[in-house]
Amino acid sequence: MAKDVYAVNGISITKIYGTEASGVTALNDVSISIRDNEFFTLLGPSGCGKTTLLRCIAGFEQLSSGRILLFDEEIDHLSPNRRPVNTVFQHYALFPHMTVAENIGFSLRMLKQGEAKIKATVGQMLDLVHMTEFAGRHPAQLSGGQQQRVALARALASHPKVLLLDEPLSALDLKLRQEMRVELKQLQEETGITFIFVTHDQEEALTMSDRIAVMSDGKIQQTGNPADIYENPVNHFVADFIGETNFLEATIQSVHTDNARCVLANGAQLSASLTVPKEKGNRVTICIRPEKISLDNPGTAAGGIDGTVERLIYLGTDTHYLVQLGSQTSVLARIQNSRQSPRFKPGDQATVVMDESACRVLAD
Amino acid sequence: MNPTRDLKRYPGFGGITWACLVFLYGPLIVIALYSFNEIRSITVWGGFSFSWYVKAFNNDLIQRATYNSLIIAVSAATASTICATAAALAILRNRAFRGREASIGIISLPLMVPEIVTAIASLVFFVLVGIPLGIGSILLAHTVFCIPFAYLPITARLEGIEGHYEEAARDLYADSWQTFRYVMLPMMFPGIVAGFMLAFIISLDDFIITNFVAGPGATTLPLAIYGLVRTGLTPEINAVSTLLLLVSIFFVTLSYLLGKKPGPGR
Repeated sequence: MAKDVYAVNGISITKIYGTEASGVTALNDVSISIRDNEFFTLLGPSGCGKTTLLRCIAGFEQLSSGRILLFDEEIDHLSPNRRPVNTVFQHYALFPHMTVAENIGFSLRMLKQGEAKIKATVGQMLDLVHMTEFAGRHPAQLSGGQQQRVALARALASHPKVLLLDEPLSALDLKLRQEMRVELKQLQEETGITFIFVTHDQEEALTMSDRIAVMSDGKIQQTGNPADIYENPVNHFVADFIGETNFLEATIQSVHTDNARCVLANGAQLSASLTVPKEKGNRVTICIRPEKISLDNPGTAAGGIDGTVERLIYLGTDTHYLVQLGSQTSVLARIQNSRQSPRFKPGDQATVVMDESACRVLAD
Repeated sequence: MNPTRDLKRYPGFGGITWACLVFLYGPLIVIALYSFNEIRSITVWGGFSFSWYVKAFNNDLIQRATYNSLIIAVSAATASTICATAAALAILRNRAFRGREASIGIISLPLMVPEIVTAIASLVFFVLVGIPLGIGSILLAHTVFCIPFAYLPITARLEGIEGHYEEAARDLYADSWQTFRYVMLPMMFPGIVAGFMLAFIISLDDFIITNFVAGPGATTLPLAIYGLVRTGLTPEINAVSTLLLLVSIFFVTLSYLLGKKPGPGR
């Protein structure tokens, strides 16, 4: 079978700012493979290295070590203006002295295309982002959302092989941000260009991406599709960073092929899926999402763990119950307020039922 | 309590303010007023007239000096603005540049060196190197001492331009020259114009350095005015001074307005 060609293939990328001895490591031996025509998101808190990685691909930063291949071609020695990738900057960086049309046509003029061709492409791009009527305006005369569209059109005009987006939605208000998510995703599908999107917003990442790489401390913690990342987090950081999670301290009692029997601090037992190598007797952390936990009246469910409802928060569509399981441990359960589901009050006894496949033993 | 109101309550505030205003602007107003004097006196008013302006315009010496001054000011301002722009870009935009701190000091030092010292040093230098004194030597000296003045508004402007614009241009396939030509230069332009005008004014009214490095025959307007004063004060000098004052006010105001707003503008 032929070797896969990736849109971007980063091999052992390390980036240290400052000197080797007293520098700050922004990227620590990161390897990443981004497929062609993929909406790929780099997700992580500020300072995790996601923007640095994007800037390395764009060519604004020199790698301390490692290589980056763009469709199998080395690009490390190329300056930013020689790389067929374009960036949508966080604050757009539209040229204030040029009109919208001039901004969009800038890359084409730099590439020395003919005036007629430039005009045609600019027209197409304006059309693509629904900005045709604003062609003659200057950036200062546009709203944030309009500037965003122009920035997108400008970056897409020269048909880059990869489009890099550096938190482009962060400057917009919530409503506009939600609209732009849909538009961005559509734009990616229409153009067929690989998008690499940097964000710290998990919701943005989950709703738009084909695949997500979760980063922290200059390393990629996990790569996968949104469902994978959300439902099967590999470690504490990923489970904690994305969505709400219960963490349960436990000791492994027995290991089976893909699951493990574990004992909680209060002596209760439960099974959890196991994808990382662990042995009997290991102290581990099990994570489970609040919506994967159900509550039953005591004595009605087999295999549940008995507890006491400590607090509840009513949220209309569902209710969040904090259930105490022994002195050390409590879990948060999110129960839909459907007709069938039982209701509890603080102080009630309840049986906590955790779906085995939703419980995961974390790597750390 | 409003602090400005507090300040006004200090004893003598009004008096000092008026004294400052009178000492600063009174002489200028008197000069300007007597340039319209009918009679040949700069202290006794004898009626309104434009005759001294007419006389000044027809004065051969003043004509030649004005011509020299304009040539020198335009050339020196142009040359120093180009140097200052290059210096500003190198100092503000090149993090890896080793002599950065030293360069900032070297560029601003001439502002603090007593002008008479610069004047003597320039004269000695020209004589030593063998550069003949005249328009050429004045031009060289002016170019050099105008650089820090041109540099100030240009850096102020450049500091207001975020680095993202350059990165965006590079990202969109512009090479270094194109980035400068199509993005940085237009964005810096108000600062460059302000720097040019400041340099122009500084060159136009310089006396001390010019007096030292000007050879025989090469006369600039300030030197010509000084020469006229020594032969006796007439309202003709007032007229020339008033015109020079107006030109200065015009350029400094324009320079201030253009350099005032950093950041993107059109």
